[in-house]
Amino acid sequence: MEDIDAEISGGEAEMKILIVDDEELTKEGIISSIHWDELNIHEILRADDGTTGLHMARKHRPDIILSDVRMPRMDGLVMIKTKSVL
Amino acid sequence: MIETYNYMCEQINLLLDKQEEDAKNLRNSEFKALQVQINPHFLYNTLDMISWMSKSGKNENVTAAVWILSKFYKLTLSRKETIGTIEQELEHISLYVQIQNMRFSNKIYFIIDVPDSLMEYEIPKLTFQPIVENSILHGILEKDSKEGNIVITAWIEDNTIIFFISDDGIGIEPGIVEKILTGELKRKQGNSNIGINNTHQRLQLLYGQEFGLSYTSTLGSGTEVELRIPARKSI
Repeated sequence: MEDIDAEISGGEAEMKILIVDDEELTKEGIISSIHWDELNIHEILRADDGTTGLHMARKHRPDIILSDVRMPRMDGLVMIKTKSVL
Repeated sequence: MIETYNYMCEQINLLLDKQEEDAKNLRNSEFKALQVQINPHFLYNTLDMISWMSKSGKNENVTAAVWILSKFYKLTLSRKETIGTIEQELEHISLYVQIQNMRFSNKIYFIIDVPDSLMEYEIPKLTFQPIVENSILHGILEKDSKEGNIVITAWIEDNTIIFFISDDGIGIEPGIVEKILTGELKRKQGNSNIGINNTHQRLQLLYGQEFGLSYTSTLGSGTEVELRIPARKSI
């Protein structure tokens, strides 16, 4: 699952962001419309629901998590609450 | 004699009250069906998807999505009648799945296996959408793979049309499955449950207690919905 959903782009890892959304087009849209380099973000991770997002957040420890709220399996709010009590 | 007369009056009043109550419930359920018909959340999500497509320069996808969306709403909003044909209803649900497939990476395999001879029979509009919506959002997308099948089959038996709508989603827990048709589930379980409960009520108010929906589900392997309506040809 992680191999499919995780996409790491960019060179030096200064800051990394995890984008969690069940809609591929939204993720693609966000990724293509922001100049990540200018924000000092060099690594973009993707997950398609809260369960995968939580797993990836634990494993990769991103600096920023950008998450949708309504998603299958685990919604964004539950994911963030679970993440913040880690 | 007087007693019998009084009893008869009482029964007539009870019947009139029931008729009035049924008419009120039907109006109510038709109104809720209209809300499902407009389905602002679905519309908002689809417009949002189109906006992202457009921003990413996917012009052909934008054209396809707008075309499907306009046809989808045309089928339900363009005419006042609340009853349509099975053919129209199947076209409507196919368009709905096409839009959901655009959002969710074409992972929903939708098969309609309904004989042509049933296409001209009548069915209330928006009967399938809440059921299929539930199969997608709470069945297939809850799987690890987010991939699955939905199959609609139908046949006639003793002047009743029976539809069988099955999915291979995650299934529904035994304690929950009994509550789907009663409207006891909270909002947490999703808006489509309100739609399912309303569809069931609407079918029973229109056609009687022997019609409507029944759910069976096996946790981990999928859900099957039986839908019964009287076989009436559309005029």
